[in-house]
Amino acid sequence: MISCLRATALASRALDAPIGFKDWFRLRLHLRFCRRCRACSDQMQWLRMASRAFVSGETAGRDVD
Amino acid sequence: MTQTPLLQDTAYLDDLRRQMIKFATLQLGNPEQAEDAVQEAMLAALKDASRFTGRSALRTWVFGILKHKIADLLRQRMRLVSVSSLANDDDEDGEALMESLFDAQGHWRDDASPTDWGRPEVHLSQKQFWAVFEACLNHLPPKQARIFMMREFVELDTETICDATGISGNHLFVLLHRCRLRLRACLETRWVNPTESSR
Repeated sequence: MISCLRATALASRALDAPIGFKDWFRLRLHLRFCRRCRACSDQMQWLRMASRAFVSGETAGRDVD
Repeated sequence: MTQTPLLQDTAYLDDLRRQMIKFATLQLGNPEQAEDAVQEAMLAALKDASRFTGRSALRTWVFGILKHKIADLLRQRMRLVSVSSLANDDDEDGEALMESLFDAQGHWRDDASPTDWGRPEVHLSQKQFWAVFEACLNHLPPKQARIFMMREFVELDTETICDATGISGNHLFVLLHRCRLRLRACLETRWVNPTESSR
Protein backbone atom coordinates (compact mmCIF):
# COMPACT_ATOMS: atom_id res chain seq x y z
CA MET A 1 0.00 0.00 0.00
CA ILE A 2 1.20 3.54 -0.70
CA SER A 3 2.38 5.75 2.15
CA CYS A 4 0.29 8.50 3.75
CA LEU A 5 2.61 11.09 2.24
CA ARG A 6 1.96 9.67 -1.23
CA ALA A 7 -1.78 9.30 -0.57
CA THR A 8 -2.19 12.92 0.50
CA ALA A 9 -0.15 14.07 -2.52
CA LEU A 10 -2.47 12.10 -4.81
CA ALA A 11 -5.57 13.41 -3.03
CA SER A 12 -4.30 16.96 -3.50
CA ARG A 13 -3.35 16.35 -7.13
CA ALA A 14 -6.79 14.93 -7.88
CA LEU A 15 -8.20 18.36 -6.99
CA ASP A 16 -6.16 19.94 -9.75
CA ALA A 17 -5.93 17.37 -12.55
CA PRO A 18 -7.18 13.91 -13.44
CA ILE A 19 -5.06 11.12 -11.98
CA GLY A 20 -4.59 7.82 -13.81
CA PHE A 21 -6.59 4.72 -12.93
CA LYS A 22 -3.67 3.04 -11.16
CA ASP A 23 -3.13 6.05 -8.89
CA TRP A 24 -6.85 6.47 -8.35
CA PHE A 25 -7.14 2.81 -7.27
CA ARG A 26 -4.10 3.06 -4.95
CA LEU A 27 -5.53 6.19 -3.40
CA ARG A 28 -9.00 4.67 -2.89
CA LEU A 29 -7.49 1.55 -1.34
CA HIS A 30 -5.35 3.60 1.02
CA LEU A 31 -8.23 5.86 2.04
CA ARG A 32 -10.39 2.85 2.79
CA PHE A 33 -8.02 1.70 5.50
CA CYS A 34 -6.49 4.99 6.71
CA ARG A 35 -8.82 7.29 8.64
CA ARG A 36 -6.13 9.94 9.02
CA CYS A 37 -5.69 10.30 5.27
CA ARG A 38 -9.45 10.10 4.82
CA ALA A 39 -9.81 13.06 7.15
CA CYS A 40 -6.99 14.93 5.41
CA SER A 41 -8.47 14.28 1.97
CA ASP A 42 -11.91 15.48 3.08
CA GLN A 43 -10.36 18.57 4.64
CA MET A 44 -8.40 19.46 1.50
CA GLN A 45 -11.64 19.29 -0.49
CA TRP A 46 -13.34 21.36 2.17
CA LEU A 47 -10.56 23.98 1.94
CA ARG A 48 -11.57 24.51 -1.67
CA MET A 49 -15.16 25.15 -0.65
CA ALA A 50 -14.04 27.47 2.17
CA SER A 51 -11.69 29.38 -0.15
CA ARG A 52 -14.46 30.03 -2.62
CA ALA A 53 -16.85 31.05 0.12
CA PHE A 54 -14.13 33.36 1.46
CA VAL A 55 -13.88 35.17 -1.86
CA SER A 56 -17.55 35.30 -2.67
CA GLY A 57 -18.61 36.31 0.83
CA GLU A 58 -21.26 33.59 0.94
CA THR A 59 -21.02 33.45 4.69
CA ALA A 60 -23.62 34.53 7.14
CA GLY A 61 -21.19 35.66 9.79
CA ARG A 62 -18.91 37.67 7.56
CA ASP A 63 -21.16 39.83 5.52
CA VAL A 64 -24.70 39.98 6.67
CA ASP A 65 -27.36 41.66 4.53
CA MET B 1 -28.01 54.94 -12.55
CA THR B 2 -30.70 54.33 -9.98
CA GLN B 3 -29.68 55.33 -6.49
CA THR B 4 -30.08 52.38 -4.17
CA PRO B 5 -29.50 52.25 -0.42
CA LEU B 6 -26.39 50.17 -1.13
CA LEU B 7 -24.82 52.95 -3.15
CA GLN B 8 -25.51 55.44 -0.37
CA ASP B 9 -23.83 53.28 2.23
CA THR B 10 -20.35 54.74 1.88
CA ALA B 11 -19.00 52.89 4.90
CA TYR B 12 -19.98 49.55 3.34
CA LEU B 13 -18.53 50.52 -0.04
CA ASP B 14 -15.26 51.68 1.56
CA ASP B 15 -14.99 48.40 3.44
CA LEU B 16 -15.73 46.39 0.30
CA ARG B 17 -13.14 48.35 -1.67
CA ARG B 18 -10.54 47.80 1.06
CA GLN B 19 -11.14 44.03 1.00
CA MET B 20 -10.92 43.99 -2.78
CA ILE B 21 -7.65 45.94 -2.86
CA LYS B 22 -6.16 43.58 -0.30
CA PHE B 23 -7.22 40.57 -2.35
CA ALA B 24 -6.03 42.04 -5.67
CA THR B 25 -2.70 43.18 -4.23
CA LEU B 26 -2.02 39.70 -2.87
CA GLN B 27 -2.69 38.24 -6.29
CA LEU B 28 -0.92 40.80 -8.44
CA GLY B 29 1.88 41.90 -6.13
CA ASN B 30 1.48 45.42 -7.53
CA PRO B 31 -0.63 47.95 -5.59
CA GLU B 32 -1.17 50.25 -8.58
CA GLN B 33 -2.43 47.46 -10.83
CA ALA B 34 -4.56 46.19 -7.95
CA GLU B 35 -6.10 49.63 -7.48
CA ASP B 36 -6.88 49.89 -11.21
CA ALA B 37 -8.43 46.41 -11.31
CA VAL B 38 -10.58 47.16 -8.27
CA GLN B 39 -11.73 50.47 -9.68
CA GLU B 40 -12.76 48.85 -12.96
CA ALA B 41 -14.53 46.00 -11.19
CA MET B 42 -16.42 48.35 -8.87
CA LEU B 43 -17.48 50.63 -11.71
CA ALA B 44 -18.70 47.66 -13.74
CA ALA B 45 -20.60 46.22 -10.80
CA LEU B 46 -22.09 49.48 -9.59
CA LYS B 47 -23.56 50.19 -13.02
CA ASP B 48 -25.92 47.34 -12.27
CA ALA B 49 -26.16 47.91 -8.52
CA SER B 50 -29.93 48.31 -8.66
CA ARG B 51 -30.15 44.58 -9.49
CA PHE B 52 -28.82 43.64 -6.10
CA THR B 53 -31.08 43.31 -3.15
CA GLY B 54 -28.42 42.79 -0.54
CA ARG B 55 -24.77 43.22 0.34
CA SER B 56 -23.83 39.60 -0.12
CA ALA B 57 -25.20 39.58 -3.66
CA LEU B 58 -23.26 42.73 -4.57
CA ARG B 59 -20.09 41.42 -2.95
CA THR B 60 -20.32 38.11 -4.82
CA TRP B 61 -20.90 39.94 -8.09
CA VAL B 62 -18.11 42.49 -7.66
CA PHE B 63 -15.57 39.88 -6.53
CA GLY B 64 -16.57 37.73 -9.53
CA ILE B 65 -15.72 40.61 -11.86
CA LEU B 66 -12.49 41.29 -10.00
CA LYS B 67 -11.43 37.63 -10.27
CA HIS B 68 -11.87 37.78 -14.06
CA LYS B 69 -9.86 41.00 -14.25
CA ILE B 70 -7.06 39.51 -12.15
CA ALA B 71 -7.04 36.34 -14.27
CA ASP B 72 -6.76 38.44 -17.46
CA LEU B 73 -3.90 40.49 -16.00
CA LEU B 74 -2.06 37.37 -14.88
CA ARG B 75 -2.47 35.77 -18.29
CA GLN B 76 -1.17 38.92 -19.97
CA ARG B 77 1.73 39.29 -17.65
CA MET B 78 2.95 35.67 -17.65
CA ARG B 79 6.04 34.72 -15.69
CA LEU B 80 4.91 36.67 -12.69
CA VAL B 81 7.37 35.07 -10.32
CA SER B 82 10.74 33.78 -11.42
CA VAL B 83 11.40 30.05 -11.23
CA SER B 84 14.40 30.45 -8.97
CA SER B 85 12.64 32.63 -6.40
CA LEU B 86 9.73 30.22 -6.17
CA ALA B 87 12.04 27.25 -5.78
CA ASN B 88 14.00 28.98 -3.04
CA ASP B 89 10.82 29.89 -1.24
CA ASP B 90 9.73 26.31 -1.16
CA ASP B 91 12.81 24.14 -0.70
CA GLU B 92 13.80 24.82 2.89
CA ASP B 93 10.31 25.21 4.32
CA GLY B 94 8.86 22.32 2.33
CA GLU B 95 11.33 19.70 3.55
CA ALA B 96 10.93 20.83 7.15
CA LEU B 97 7.15 20.70 6.84
CA MET B 98 7.15 17.15 5.49
CA GLU B 99 9.52 15.97 8.21
CA SER B 100 7.27 17.49 10.85
CA LEU B 101 4.18 15.74 9.47
CA PHE B 102 5.45 12.35 8.25
CA ASP B 103 7.98 9.82 9.53
CA ALA B 104 10.75 8.27 7.45
CA GLN B 105 8.31 5.72 5.99
CA GLY B 106 5.92 8.48 4.94
CA HIS B 107 3.29 7.72 7.59
CA TRP B 108 1.66 10.40 9.76
CA ARG B 109 3.47 11.27 12.95
CA ASP B 110 1.13 10.83 15.92
CA ASP B 111 1.34 14.47 16.96
CA ALA B 112 0.53 15.68 13.44
CA SER B 113 -2.15 13.28 12.31
CA PRO B 114 -5.45 14.77 11.13
CA THR B 115 -8.51 14.46 13.34
CA ASP B 116 -12.15 14.33 12.40
CA TRP B 117 -13.54 17.87 12.01
CA GLY B 118 -17.14 16.78 12.36
CA ARG B 119 -19.33 19.01 10.19
CA PRO B 120 -16.87 21.69 9.08
CA GLU B 121 -19.51 23.55 7.04
CA VAL B 122 -20.88 25.00 10.29
CA HIS B 123 -17.63 26.96 10.67
CA LEU B 124 -18.36 28.93 7.52
CA SER B 125 -21.11 30.87 9.23
CA GLN B 126 -18.91 31.92 12.14
CA LYS B 127 -17.24 35.29 11.85
CA GLN B 128 -14.38 34.29 14.10
CA PHE B 129 -13.57 31.33 11.87
CA TRP B 130 -12.81 33.67 8.96
CA ALA B 131 -10.34 35.64 11.07
CA VAL B 132 -8.51 32.37 11.82
CA PHE B 133 -8.73 31.32 8.16
CA GLU B 134 -7.17 34.61 7.09
CA ALA B 135 -4.46 34.33 9.73
CA CYS B 136 -3.63 30.82 8.47
CA LEU B 137 -3.46 32.11 4.89
CA ASN B 138 -1.08 34.84 6.02
CA HIS B 139 1.02 32.18 7.71
CA LEU B 140 1.77 30.46 4.37
CA PRO B 141 5.08 31.27 2.65
CA PRO B 142 4.14 34.37 0.55
CA LYS B 143 4.81 32.99 -2.92
CA GLN B 144 3.11 29.70 -2.13
CA ALA B 145 0.16 31.63 -0.78
CA ARG B 146 -0.08 33.48 -4.07
CA ILE B 147 -0.10 30.21 -6.01
CA PHE B 148 -2.73 28.74 -3.69
CA MET B 149 -4.92 31.81 -4.17
CA MET B 150 -4.47 31.72 -7.94
CA ARG B 151 -5.82 28.19 -7.86
CA GLU B 152 -8.49 28.35 -5.19
CA PHE B 153 -9.55 32.00 -5.09
CA VAL B 154 -9.15 33.16 -8.68
CA GLU B 155 -9.86 29.59 -9.90
CA LEU B 156 -7.15 29.62 -12.57
CA ASP B 157 -6.43 26.23 -14.13
CA THR B 158 -3.06 24.63 -13.50
CA GLU B 159 -1.79 25.28 -17.03
CA THR B 160 -2.43 29.03 -16.69
CA ILE B 161 -0.70 29.13 -13.32
CA CYS B 162 2.32 27.29 -14.75
CA ASP B 163 2.48 29.77 -17.64
CA ALA B 164 2.12 32.75 -15.32
CA THR B 165 4.75 31.63 -12.84
CA GLY B 166 7.12 29.63 -14.99
CA ILE B 167 7.03 26.56 -12.77
CA SER B 168 6.47 23.02 -14.02
CA GLY B 169 3.23 21.12 -13.54
CA ASN B 170 4.84 18.70 -11.10
CA HIS B 171 6.32 21.53 -9.05
CA LEU B 172 2.92 23.19 -8.92
CA PHE B 173 1.31 19.98 -7.61
CA VAL B 174 3.99 19.74 -4.91
CA LEU B 175 3.46 23.37 -3.85
CA LEU B 176 -0.32 23.03 -3.75
CA HIS B 177 -0.03 19.82 -1.73
CA ARG B 178 2.19 21.56 0.81
CA CYS B 179 -0.05 24.63 0.98
CA ARG B 180 -3.10 22.47 1.66
CA LEU B 181 -1.28 20.46 4.33
CA ARG B 182 -0.12 23.67 5.99
CA LEU B 183 -3.54 25.28 5.89
CA ARG B 184 -5.41 22.27 7.24
CA ALA B 185 -2.83 21.82 10.01
CA CYS B 186 -3.09 25.51 10.92
CA LEU B 187 -6.89 25.39 11.04
CA GLU B 188 -6.83 22.22 13.11
CA THR B 189 -4.45 23.76 15.63
CA ARG B 190 -6.01 27.21 15.82
CA TRP B 191 -9.67 26.49 15.25
CA VAL B 192 -10.79 22.87 15.46
CA ASN B 193 -8.68 21.75 18.45
CA PRO B 194 -7.19 24.92 19.95
CA THR B 195 -7.12 23.49 23.48
CA GLU B 196 -5.05 20.45 22.52
CA SER B 197 -2.32 22.61 21.01
CA SER B 198 -2.02 24.62 24.22
CA ARG B 199 -1.59 21.58 26.43
